Parts: sequence; structure tokens; C-alpha cells
Amino acid sequence: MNSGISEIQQHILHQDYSLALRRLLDVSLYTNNDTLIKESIAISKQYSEKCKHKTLTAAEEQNMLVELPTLLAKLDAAIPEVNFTNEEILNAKQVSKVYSKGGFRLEPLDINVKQGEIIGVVGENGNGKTTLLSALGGQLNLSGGAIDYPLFPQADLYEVRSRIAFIPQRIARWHGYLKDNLHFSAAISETYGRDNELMVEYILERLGLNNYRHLTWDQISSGYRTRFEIARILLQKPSLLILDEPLANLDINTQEIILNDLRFMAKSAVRPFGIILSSQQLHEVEKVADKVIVLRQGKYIHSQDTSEAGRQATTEFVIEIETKNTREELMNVFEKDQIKVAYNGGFFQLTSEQLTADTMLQFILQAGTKITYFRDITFSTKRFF
Amino acid sequence: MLNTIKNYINKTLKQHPDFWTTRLPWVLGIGVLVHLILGLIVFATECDVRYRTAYETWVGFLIIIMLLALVFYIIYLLRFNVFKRFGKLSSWHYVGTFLAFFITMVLCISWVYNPWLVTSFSARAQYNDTQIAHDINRINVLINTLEYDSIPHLWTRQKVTLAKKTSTTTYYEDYNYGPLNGEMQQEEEHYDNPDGTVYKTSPVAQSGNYEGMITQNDTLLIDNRIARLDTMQFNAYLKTDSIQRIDDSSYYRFYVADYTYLNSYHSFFTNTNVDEIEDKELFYKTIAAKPIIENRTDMTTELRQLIEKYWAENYQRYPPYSNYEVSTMPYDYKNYINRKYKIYDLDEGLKNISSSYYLWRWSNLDFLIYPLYYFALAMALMLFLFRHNRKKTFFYTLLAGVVLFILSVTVMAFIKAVDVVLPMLIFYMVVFGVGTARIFIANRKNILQDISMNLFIFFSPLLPLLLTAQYYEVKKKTFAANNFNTDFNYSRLYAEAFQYQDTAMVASQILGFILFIILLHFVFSKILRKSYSLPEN
Repeated sequence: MNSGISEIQQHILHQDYSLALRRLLDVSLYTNNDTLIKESIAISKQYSEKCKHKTLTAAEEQNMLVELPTLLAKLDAAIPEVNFTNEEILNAKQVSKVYSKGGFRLEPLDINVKQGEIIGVVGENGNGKTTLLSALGGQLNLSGGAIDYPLFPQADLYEVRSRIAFIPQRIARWHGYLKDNLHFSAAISETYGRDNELMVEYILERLGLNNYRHLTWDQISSGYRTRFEIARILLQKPSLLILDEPLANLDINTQEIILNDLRFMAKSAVRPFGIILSSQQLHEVEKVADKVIVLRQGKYIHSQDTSEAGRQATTEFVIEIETKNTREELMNVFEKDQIKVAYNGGFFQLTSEQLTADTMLQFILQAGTKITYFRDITFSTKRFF
Repeated sequence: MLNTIKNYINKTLKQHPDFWTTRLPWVLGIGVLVHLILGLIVFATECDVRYRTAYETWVGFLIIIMLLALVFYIIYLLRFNVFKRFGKLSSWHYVGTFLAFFITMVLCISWVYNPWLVTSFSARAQYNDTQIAHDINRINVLINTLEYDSIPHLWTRQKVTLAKKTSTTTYYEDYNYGPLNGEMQQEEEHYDNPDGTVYKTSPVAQSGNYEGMITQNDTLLIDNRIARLDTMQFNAYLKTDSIQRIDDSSYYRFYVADYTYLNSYHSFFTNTNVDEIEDKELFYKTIAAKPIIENRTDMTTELRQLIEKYWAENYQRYPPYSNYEVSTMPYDYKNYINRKYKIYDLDEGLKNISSSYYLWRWSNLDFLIYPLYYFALAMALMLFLFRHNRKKTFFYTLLAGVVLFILSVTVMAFIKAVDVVLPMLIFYMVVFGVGTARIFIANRKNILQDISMNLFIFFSPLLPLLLTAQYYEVKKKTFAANNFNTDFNYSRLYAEAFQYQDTAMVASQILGFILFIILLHFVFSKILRKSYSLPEN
């Protein structure tokens, strides 16, 4: 059985129907079968419609999704064997940027992005995240270094920029109906006629935008504007998606949903694409990113590898806690051990080369210290802030 | 209809997105609808072309409507600036988009021509110019026949005294004027009036006018009863039976009475093969021998029907008949005829029919085409450039164009030279061309090169015209320097040398458009594509 199908079945088993239906839509796309995609959209739509008006009981949900097992079986049979490819999309070497005015300088750095890979770029405001993203997206002339696009070596600048989608921090205003804009975006990416209709229907349902399709820019919230922008960009079938602060206008739940959806779509077996995103939401970014780059004053200071290999290579452990106790009281808990305690005005940051995060937490709790917040930031770029 | 357009537009959105962004289907639908409605209104309100039509008012009104529509359309497109996306462009995207904008512009601007053309076609549907010419002749013949007893039959005469030549001065040959015998006169000529007044003629050719147009003075002063024997015109009169010699210096010139009563119909005769029956012919046809009228009633009926067919009846045009008395003065028969047959009404009707009828004619084509073509071209190019530029670049280009224009005019005014316009424009095109070519090797955006590109593209349809005009300017100067004041055949030589100028100017404009389309497809498309995608600095 296909792993996507088994994942859906797991979600159904745990009555995570909403998640199951989102994954169903993703999986249906693998089949490249219009009928199955339409059926998946129909089921998802039916569910969304009912949920819109009232909270469904478990029995009602089960009744509604009675056709789901049959559809899953059909999908399972229709999904072809696809080997996931992760070819290199972008290879930037020693890219740097110096502005003639303002004196800001992005120091040289190397970066490469593969299909299905998600790179997070973090850093405080004014540290060069947007500059880096704009340069990688071909929007900004480089002062030094070079960028290669191995996936489309023959492409001219226009085609490169057509294949690299850039969602800026401040999304440009749309005019007309949102649905028309989506049809347009699909059409300029060579998705014509009925395919165009199907793909727009698909993306509207996939990103939960169906109820807003006939609205205009002024009639939706900034969060939905971001979602529509993502929908529009995805319809253009980008090879690389660059998002500058995409989470800024989203609530915490939507942030998670959008990031997870993006991750799932980027790692699609049928049409994988790379993502580079910048954000202030370190935790959320780290959850989905394969690699996180930290920029400080235009300088690359750290690259966090969140893979298992990266975790194995860690040499020190760091936790972040919030407590009403003083620094001295905390120091007393770990008096025999080599531990560094730092306070940034809000949280205490405890760093140790010997004690793991779990051990440090254990010591704190045993000492009767009351903590209101704890986070293991050993593998987080939060350590650098 | 709106639903059909809507469905079609929805289809184009999903099938031809570039085409959809031009909004051509909407403009075509609305544009044609406006033409139809407008045409019907104009036809209904201006159907009786015997009366003065208000097409000028319509045209004025429609210019305002058209401008409002264009502003509305442009704002609509500006709002859709968001559709300037990177994406797959078909190979015909650039030419297709430009032509779509051009068609929309032509359609909107053509609204202004609607009342013009509808009025003309309405007149043409009701009347026929050849028939009108025949009818005018017939009306004059019928009136003269029926009113034989009321109109003068004798010729009148004037005595014409020839002026005496006292001296000569330079004048130049032209097609209308020349000596009868021998060599060209070289000196200014003075003529003495019999009463002792000296009349001095000016040279018939004016120096400095190398255009070839020669202003001729009036050399046959009939009203003063003085004529020059050596004028070709008077010589022509001498050969007719309207001149009778008294002695060496005096002649009688005879005039036939005015037997043509309709005065505003000449356009019909110049546009048909029908000859106008003039006074003299009418005299020989209807007056010289008393006509035999077999059935006066039939003739009267025919005349009445003809008059009613064309007249624009207006009772205010005549004083009350009760005060009217037939005068016995020699020329007052005209008053009598005019009143009896309402010639003024007839005249007015024919004049109105003529002005409506000939609003459209092939010889007016350039008058119709040029404003339409150039206005539509300029607007379409602006929209096209807007569509393929960043907003900032486009508005900087507009600003640069205006500044350059003001600067050029100021420089021209300062150096007091108008003939530098063409070389200056060609120079600008070369500079813009160089700026445009830089884009091929550029690796980042530059506002100057983008402005150059936009201005070069904008003016490129005019390039062949500029070069042709400059060629003829140079040729004219060379020709004038080589021939003026030295050759009496100046006009003829000029006409021969510049016989193809008009054709070349028209051809260069057609060539300009074709060249633009070719350049757009093969060169400008690449430049625009690269310029649009170059990174900012």
C-alpha cells in the first residue's frame, strides 16, 4: 500500500478527518487521474460544507465519509510507482550584496536548494533576510558571487524568474475576483481549459479557500490574502518557492497548517519543489525546515541541520526556561556541574556540554523550581538570539 | 449578449490568458454595441438629409464619450497591472497583445466617425448623385421652358477697354499665364487706365517659394472694364462669340442672362460623369427658340415632384407673398423664379444632401484614416509599454518624453530653427537605439536604458517616415539651390523631381507599421523580455 494512503487511514482511524481529507487531496494528485481528483475534491467539499454550519458528531462524520474507503482503494490502485527525485534547483556560491546607500552589506555565503528541500532563513529584522531571498530569486543584482540553476540550465532570465516564485512580505494587491486571478495564474503556466478549471478547484479546496472564491481583495482578511497568494503561486508550478515572512499575517493554527501543507506539497512524489522561507517564527520554521540559516548583520552565522545526522553531531545542550526564581537559585541547582546560565530579560538559557536537556529539566524539577515555560533549544537557532 | 460575452471571456481566461488581460472581448462587444445603438439613433434622428444634420454635434459629443471610455478602459487596465506576471509567453504574445490593444483603440476612437458615416450612408441610401445631377439639369430646363415668357431673352454687354502697356518688368512663366507671342517678358508692366490711373501689376511669380506654387495676380479686371490683351484668359475669350471687337483697344463682352437657378450643387457634377448645363447651353436649348410645350400640366407636375424631392421646406425663408410684386427690372426675374419655385428651399435641400452625401468619399479617406490611425497607434503603444514595463519605469518614460519635448522646443525656439526638427528626431532615435541595444548586454536594470527602450519602441513606427521626410527635405534644398532663379521650367522640373513624394510618404507610414510588427516579433520581444526580468540594483 502506498505510504500516503496508509497515512490517511491512520488519520481516519484517529478521527482526524480534516487532516485526512487534505492528505487525500495531495495523494489524488499523484494519480494524474481527473476523475479521481474530482471525486476527492467532491468528498472534501461535502465535508467542508457540512462543517461550515455546525460541529459534526463522530457518527455524522463517519456517515459522510462512507465513500472514503472505496476512493482510497481506487487511489491506491491508481498511484504509479514514482521515485522521489531531489535534483539540485539552485546553487549559490559566495553571493553577496552591498547597497550603495544605507551601508548594509550581505556578506558572501553559499547556499543550495534541492527539490523537496525546505530552507529556513532566520534572523532579526534588518539583518539581510529579504536581501538574501531577493538575490536568490533573481530580483536583486548581486555584488559578488554567482547563482546557478542546474535544473534549468538553458533558461534565460525571464524563464528562471518564471520558475522561481517569490512571495514578498507585502503582497501586491489583486484586482477582480480571486477565482479569476487563480484561473489566470494557472493559464500562464500552461494549464488550459478543463485542466485549468480542475486545478483551480483543487487548489481552492486544498487550501480551504472555496468560500472566498467569489470575493475580492478588499473582502478578505490579510491571512486569506497570504493563502490566496500561495494558491496562486502553486498553480504556477514553481520549481523553487521563496517566501519572505509568509507567517506574518497568519494566526498560530494557520501558520502550522500552511507550513505543514507546504512541506507536504514540496515533497510531492509527482512534482517536488524547493522552498526557501524567512520568518521570525523560529519554532514553526524549524519544525518544517530541513536546514535553517541564521543571519546576523548580513553575516551568515550558523546553519542548523535538523536531520538526524545533524542531531548526532551536536556537542552541547541548551534549554530555555521561564521561572520566577533568580539566577542564583538556578545556579545552585546545578552547582556541581559545568553549566552556563544566561538571562535575556525574559528567559533563562542554560547550556551544558555534559547534561542533556532531559537531565537538566529533571534537575530543575527535583529542586522544586517552579517553571512556567520550558523548551529544548539544543537543535534550535533560538540559541543565537 | 452579455452572457455570451461573459462565457467567451471565461473561456479566454482559461485558454488565452494574454488575450484575456487586454479585455478585447469586452471592448469588442461593447464597442460594436455602441456602434449599433449609436448608428440607429443617428439614423433615426438624421434620416431626412434634406435638412441640416447635426452630425457635428454628435461628433463633438462622441469625442467626449470616447475620451471618457478610453480613460475608463486605461484605468481598468492599470488596475490589472497585477497581471504583469512572469509566466509562459506564447511566441505571438507581444504582437498579439499589441494588435489587441490597437484594435480596442481603433474601435473606441471609431465611435467618433459613426455619425459621420451613418449620415453619409443614410444620404446615399436615399439619393444617388448621378440622378441628382440629372435632376438639377432637368429642373433648370423645366423652369426655363415653363417660364419662357417671364425671363429675359437678350444678352447684356459690357465694354472692355484694353490697358496700354507702358513698361515691362520680370515675371515668370506658369501654367496659367504667359505671353501670346515671342519671348518671355522680362520687365514689370504698367498699364494706364483710360481715366489716367496707372495700374501696376505685380510679378506673377513670387521668389523664395520653392514649393512650386506660383501666385498669380488677377490680370483680367472685368469689373473695371480693363483687360490685358496678352493674357491667355482674354485671348480665350476673344475666340468665343461672347466678345465683339469695337476697335484696337475696345471690345464688347456679352453676357447671357442667368438661367441656372440652383447654385449649391456643383459637388454633384464634380463627382459624376454628368455635365452641368450652363447658362449659355440653357439659352440655346430653351430660350433661343421658343420651346413648344405639348402638355404644360405634365411638365408642371414633373417639376413640382422634383422640387419636393429635394427641397428643405422653410416658410421663414421668404417674405410674405402678399407684399410681393413682380418687378419689371431686368434681373428681378430671378426673384420671381426663386419665390415661385422655392429655389432657396431647393438650394438648401441640395446643399444639405450634398454635405451629407459626400461626408464619406474615397478622397476623404486620408482625413478619416490619419487621426484614427495615429491616435490609436499612440494609445495602443502606451498601453503595450505599460503592460510590459514596471509601473515606475513606464511613468518615468512618460515624464522623460514630456521633458525631452519641452527641452527640444526650447532649444528650437532659442536657435530659431524649425528645420532641425527632423534631424533632431532622427538623432533622438539613434540615441534611444543605442540605449536600447545596451539591454542585450546588461546584467541589471537601469532606468535610462529602459526609458530609451520605451521611447525607441514608441517612435519606431515613425522611423521610415522620418527618414523619408528627411530625404525629401535634403532633396528640396538641393533642388532649390540648383534650379531656382535659373530655370523657367522650375515648376515642371519640381513636379517631375517630386512626383513620388506623396506616394513615398504614405508608403513609409505603411512600412513603418509593418516594420514595427516585424521588429516587435523578432527584436523588441527579446528586449522587453530581458528588460522586464533584469534584477534591480
